Amino acid sequence: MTKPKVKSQKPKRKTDRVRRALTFGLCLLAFGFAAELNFSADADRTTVGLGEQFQLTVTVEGTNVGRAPRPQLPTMDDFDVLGSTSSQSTNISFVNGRMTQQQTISFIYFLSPRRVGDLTVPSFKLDFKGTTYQTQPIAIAATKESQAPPPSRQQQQSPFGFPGRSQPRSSGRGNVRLTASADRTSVYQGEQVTVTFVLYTQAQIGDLGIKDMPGFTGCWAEKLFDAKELNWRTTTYSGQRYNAATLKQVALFPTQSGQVKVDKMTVSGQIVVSGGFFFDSAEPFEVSSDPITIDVKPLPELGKPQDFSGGVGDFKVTAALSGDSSVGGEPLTLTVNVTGTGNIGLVGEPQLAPLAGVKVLSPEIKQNTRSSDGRVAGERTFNYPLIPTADGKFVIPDIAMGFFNPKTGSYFTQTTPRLEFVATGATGKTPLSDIESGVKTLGADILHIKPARGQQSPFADHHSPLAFLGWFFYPAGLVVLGVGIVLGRHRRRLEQDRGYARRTRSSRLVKKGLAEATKLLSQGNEREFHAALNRAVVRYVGDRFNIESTGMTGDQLQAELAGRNVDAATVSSLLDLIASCDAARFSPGMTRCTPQETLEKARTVLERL
Amino acid sequence: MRRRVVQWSSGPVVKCLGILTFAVCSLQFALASAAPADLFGRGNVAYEAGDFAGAVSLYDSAAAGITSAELLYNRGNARFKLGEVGRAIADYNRAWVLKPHDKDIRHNLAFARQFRPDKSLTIENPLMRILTDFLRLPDYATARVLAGLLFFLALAALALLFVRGERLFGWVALGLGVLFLYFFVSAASWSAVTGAEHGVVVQPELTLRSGPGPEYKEIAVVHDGLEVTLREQRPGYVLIQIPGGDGGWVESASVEQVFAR
Repeated sequence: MTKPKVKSQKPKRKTDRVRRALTFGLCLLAFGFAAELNFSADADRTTVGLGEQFQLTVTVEGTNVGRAPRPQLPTMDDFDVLGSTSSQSTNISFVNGRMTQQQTISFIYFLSPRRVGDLTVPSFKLDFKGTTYQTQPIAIAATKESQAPPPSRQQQQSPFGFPGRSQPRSSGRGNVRLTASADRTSVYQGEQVTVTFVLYTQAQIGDLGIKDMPGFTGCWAEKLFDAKELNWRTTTYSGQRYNAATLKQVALFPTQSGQVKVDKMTVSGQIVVSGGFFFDSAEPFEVSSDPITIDVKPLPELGKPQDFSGGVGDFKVTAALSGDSSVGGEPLTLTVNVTGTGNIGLVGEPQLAPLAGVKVLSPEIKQNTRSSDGRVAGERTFNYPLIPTADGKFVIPDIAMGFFNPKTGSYFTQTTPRLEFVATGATGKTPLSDIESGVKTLGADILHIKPARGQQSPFADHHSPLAFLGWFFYPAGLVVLGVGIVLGRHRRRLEQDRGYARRTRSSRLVKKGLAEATKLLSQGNEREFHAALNRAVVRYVGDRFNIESTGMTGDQLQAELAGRNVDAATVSSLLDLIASCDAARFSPGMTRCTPQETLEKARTVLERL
Repeated sequence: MRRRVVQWSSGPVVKCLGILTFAVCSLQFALASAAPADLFGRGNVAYEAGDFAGAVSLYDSAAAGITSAELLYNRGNARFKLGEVGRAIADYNRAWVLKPHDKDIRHNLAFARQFRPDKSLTIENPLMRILTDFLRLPDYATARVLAGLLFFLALAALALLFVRGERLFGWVALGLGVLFLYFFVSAASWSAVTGAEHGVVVQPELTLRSGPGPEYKEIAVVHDGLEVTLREQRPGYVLIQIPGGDGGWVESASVEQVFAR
């Protein structure tokens, strides 16, 4: 009964395993799709008048999409691409100590319909991390009528397609011309070319509309002027008087070298013809401008700085930090601001040097352009989130950006000063495992063990007996000091007390004198022996009792010694010794003692003294 | 005219002291660096092999023969790997006193302290911190030996001043005295750190009681790695004071004394 159960369980377990694996895989797949990327396209309006432009925004949104490529621009037969720009933003949030980073990149295209009808903006495609993403097509209704907002009540309503001041009346049919002119036809790549479309007429015209808008392929186009109303002026063209009105003015910045062609613009309308006393008649017309060809010179390679940003014009760069300190891994923002005149929209992001201990995220790019005296000017801002991953003082080195000045035909570099900030409490606070680029902090640990070196210096161990050697010096020092004090006092007394000094040295001197006498005796010189012995004894007596004994008579000496409490027997022996020595010196035959006996007698007397 | 009455030279005395010191050092080196060094090396091998318990055992045996900052540091590492944060902190503290300027020791001590469940909220006075750092430039043993030596030299210079009567010896004695004071205060500062009252909690969780016994009321709970002050010893129990002033009685085995006297 058991076997069948076992057999029936095997396939079931296998099926469960497969099911679990599939479920896990689907979860992973779903999570991957959910967390990867959101790709969409949106138009600011879906009904556009012919000749008008609208804005198409293609958005890439998700985590870690900073390296996403630019979407592939589909072939658009029904639209002219007037220009494009992009912006990027990063949203950082900390939830439960974990950082999430949401990035949004917007690619903005300015489109204009080429014809009237129901048109479709095709799908954009994006290949990212092996996956192809696609936007939904967008339907655009292109109408002949302008879809621009209606003019205000105060604005004078024109009988023509363009509102405006009343056109000066003219007689006769006259000519209608449309011209396109460029302020220059030979420029450097990235240098501004201003193209102006002007309508000339000698007749009264109405029901005016733009039939074909020119394309600006190979250029970044920035609108300088779009006529919402026609401002007529009287001018001379080809030697004839015309009423002229500027329809459009656009700044073009070629993005490639070679020849760039500005296509023709076509305007249609009706000419008012005086038909009689009561009624005027109208005749349709259609005029086009001539295409313009612009020679675009490549930027010179000679002198091109490594940090060339792509900017052509006159620019200045500044940099600033949102603060000078970061606590607990709190992000700071490094703002690099480029301002000036030129192709501001084509200025690339600056190259930042890697900063150890700081995570530098992709910048959020903001741009603001304006027209200044017919030139495109503005600012482009790069906001870099900086996340400290270590504590310390950090220095952001100089940020250099190279530009090309078409007026001088040379490159120049703008450099920002160094910036500093201090980070505290950043270590181990910010998990950065979800950030792909830069140095990754994966964890922290204790430092490794040290090699075995055996016994170190015994002094380094405060429990070692040698470390207690210090205690030995304290009593030794006191002993030395005590000895010094005693010796010092002794020395001062020697200097101040003559009797003490003579008494102190008496023993040493008498020993010296006796040794000298003994030496003379050993040489057989008895006379000199007795003289030396006499000198030594008399000198000792003088030193011992601090008296001037030399030259004293026996009585004088006896009196001095008696006054110093020397016993009479000793004094008598001393005088006898001195007399013996004198006799031996001056009457050698009269001596009663041998020299040895005299020497021994002298020692006895000196000991008793 | 000044007469030289006493002739005294410090040269022979210094030479004798130097020879004596060298002889004692050499003897201690020879006695101490045989087996313990081998145990130290084997402990490192065990550590490298991931046998941290074996490494601790070998380091313990080596520590019975030698006292080395490297040995204590390595034992602290092995204990930390075993999850014994308190014992690791005790070893790092011991190693730090022997080599106060070793960056590795300071790093690992600070690192291990991060793993303490009980954080110390004491804010140190920055001026005191500067003063303490200045006083602890020399290590404890060096400060103690140099303080004694400088005391001896200062008094010797003073003695020479008495004997020779030359002012130069007075200035020398004053300079040596100032140096002596610095090293003496430095040694005193170290002495405050290496006192027997310093201990570390070595149990994951420890209950403080109002008296030396399980029957007393529970007062507080502290955790592994908390550095405490040992106030009073009783058989089997010790009164500890935690940072902030509170304290209680705990079993002696639950607290490791950092510096034994």
